[in-house]
Amino acid sequence: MLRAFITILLFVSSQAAYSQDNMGFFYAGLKFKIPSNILQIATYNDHEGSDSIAFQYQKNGTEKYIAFNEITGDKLIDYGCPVRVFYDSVFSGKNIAECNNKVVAILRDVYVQGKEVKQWSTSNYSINYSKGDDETFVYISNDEGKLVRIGSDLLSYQEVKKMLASLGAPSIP
Amino acid sequence: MNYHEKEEVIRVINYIWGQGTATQHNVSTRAAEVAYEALVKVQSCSASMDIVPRPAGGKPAIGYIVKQLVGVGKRIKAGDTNIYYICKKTVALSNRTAIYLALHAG
Repeated sequence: MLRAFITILLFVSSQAAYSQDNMGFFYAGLKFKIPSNILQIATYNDHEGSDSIAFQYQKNGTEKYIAFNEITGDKLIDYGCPVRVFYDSVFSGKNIAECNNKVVAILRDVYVQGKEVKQWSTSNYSINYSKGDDETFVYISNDEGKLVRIGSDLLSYQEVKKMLASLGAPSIP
Repeated sequence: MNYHEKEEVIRVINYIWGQGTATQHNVSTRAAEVAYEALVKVQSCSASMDIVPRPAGGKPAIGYIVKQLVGVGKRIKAGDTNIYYICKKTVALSNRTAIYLALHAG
């Protein structure tokens, strides 16, 4: 199977540490605001319903990242129910009969057990947030089946909320 | 896989997806396959063609995959990986569900 990688190296003028300056980033039909002091960008498409792009930063001399991975139409999981319902179930801890609850349980071990979990929704999207010791993961889904996964070891919860502000005001603050 | 082979496969998986992801209790041949495929993707991204050689033909046998992962595991232990952080993180996110299903769904 054809796989294509493109690695783009962007050497910005500053080798500076993390800054609060943001820039707009359009991905999977959504707008995000990400820190602008990017050191490198990597993109990846595996032709299996997964397109990824990652931004590398430096903070206190350490490599950090924010990565976006659209998995709309993902065939890896037999969800059994709409993806928005599935991921809301994973993160809420409430089982939904029609969902694949075996996989729901596995993903709860990954994203919920011992993690800081937050859920909120906008007029169009459900946002499910999980923060462990080192990394943060966010799942964005809607009723049309759009599914975007974000991973980062850079952003705090408040910074994630700012990054996602363009998705609409949260109905649950 | 014997115990020592599993140890190296675990080292590779935990290097890509984070410490504690794989253990002696959940590591499996399917997880080894997912890790190998991830390494193939990472090395393409990193332009580091010497991480894992890919044999001509179709899908490599599990014995070959384990042998390669054992070698990579030893290199990780020695601090000799030549893998870009950003490439590892990109592939890790893309294959995150796959590795957990392989480790926990049998």
